[in-house]
Amino acid sequence: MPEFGVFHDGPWPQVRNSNHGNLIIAGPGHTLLEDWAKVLGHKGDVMGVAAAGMFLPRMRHWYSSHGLWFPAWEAVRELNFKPVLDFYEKHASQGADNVDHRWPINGRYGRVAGLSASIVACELGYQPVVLAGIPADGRGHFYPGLEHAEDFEDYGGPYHKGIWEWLRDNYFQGRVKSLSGNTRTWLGEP
Amino acid sequence: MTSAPFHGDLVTGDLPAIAGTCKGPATVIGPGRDVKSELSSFQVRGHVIAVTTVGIFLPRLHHWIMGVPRKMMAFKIARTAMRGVTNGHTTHAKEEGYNGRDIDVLWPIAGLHTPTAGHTAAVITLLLGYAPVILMGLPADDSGHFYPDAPINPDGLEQLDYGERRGKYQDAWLWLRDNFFEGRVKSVSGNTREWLGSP
Repeated sequence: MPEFGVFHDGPWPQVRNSNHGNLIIAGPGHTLLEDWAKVLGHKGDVMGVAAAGMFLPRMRHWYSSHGLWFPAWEAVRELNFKPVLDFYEKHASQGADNVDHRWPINGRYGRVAGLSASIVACELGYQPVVLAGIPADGRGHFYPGLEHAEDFEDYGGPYHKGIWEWLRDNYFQGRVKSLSGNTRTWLGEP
Repeated sequence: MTSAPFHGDLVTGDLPAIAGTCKGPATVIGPGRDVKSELSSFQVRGHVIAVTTVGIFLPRLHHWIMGVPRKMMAFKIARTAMRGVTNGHTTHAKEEGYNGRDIDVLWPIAGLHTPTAGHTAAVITLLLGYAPVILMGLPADDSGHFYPDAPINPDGLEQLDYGERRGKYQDAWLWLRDNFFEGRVKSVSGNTREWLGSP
């Protein structure tokens, strides 16, 4: 069991509870492309996570644990979507640079972007929240990185599993489901 | 500068000094939908040539070839963010229509025969001196990219088809095969495998 609550004292961004309806969170896991195909036609909002946000059409929110990288990613995104009206808000945990909203998420839950993006989605007011490309199985990213299995953290191991399951039982309240991988097993399908 | 060899109307001017200085096999890695599984299934031979977006993510590459050179600086900055370092490779593009300074080597190549970054990369890789050349992630079809660029709310945005319906792209691959590649370029997937053969 985690020793800490999900949040510390704040301050809270003003956008808390300012949204409603459903949200797709598109993360950088290796299942992103197949999960994206499942949600085509989705009418709600989209939140990109980390590198995935460089490419997602119609993105409303962008979460990253690395606020430092936003300017670089945004430069690529601007080239991809320059002809299209593109408006999104950038989110990160407190202390991050280059973002619009900083959330008081305790470090245990903020270390992995998929986890903290799920929490931010709930705090923004979205329900249901569907995870795409966040399998939490340590099998790599959607992009071709020439990586090997041993390069990745064990996102499916007991430590991460314990956090996802604690959030499921104590915080998500059934609001967050997943389309693939371990998170689908732990949180259920939409 | 070396003098331009006879390549029909493909090479339109003097080649840069780097032309012909490389040797051995090279793998050209493009942004096709299945590039990740192709990299798992086929051996990357020789030097790595990244095509456009792929270069942001590959941990090691020798050359990075752009179809739209004005994107280079943003892509390099993103690569620095993703991979920590951005040196150790040379960037290339066609000189046609580009006056910027963000590319290391500009090539006098006719756009008529190199209408996409994939065509351009195959040609520049050969002109660098590499052979044989293996294409991965360059199927030249309508299967899309390794990233989810399909609009989630369809609004009529056009999905590029690099194969059948885009006749000029197919024509260019076939022209290059018949007039320049001389059997040195093969592909592991898609239309290019059909047109150029498997490695």
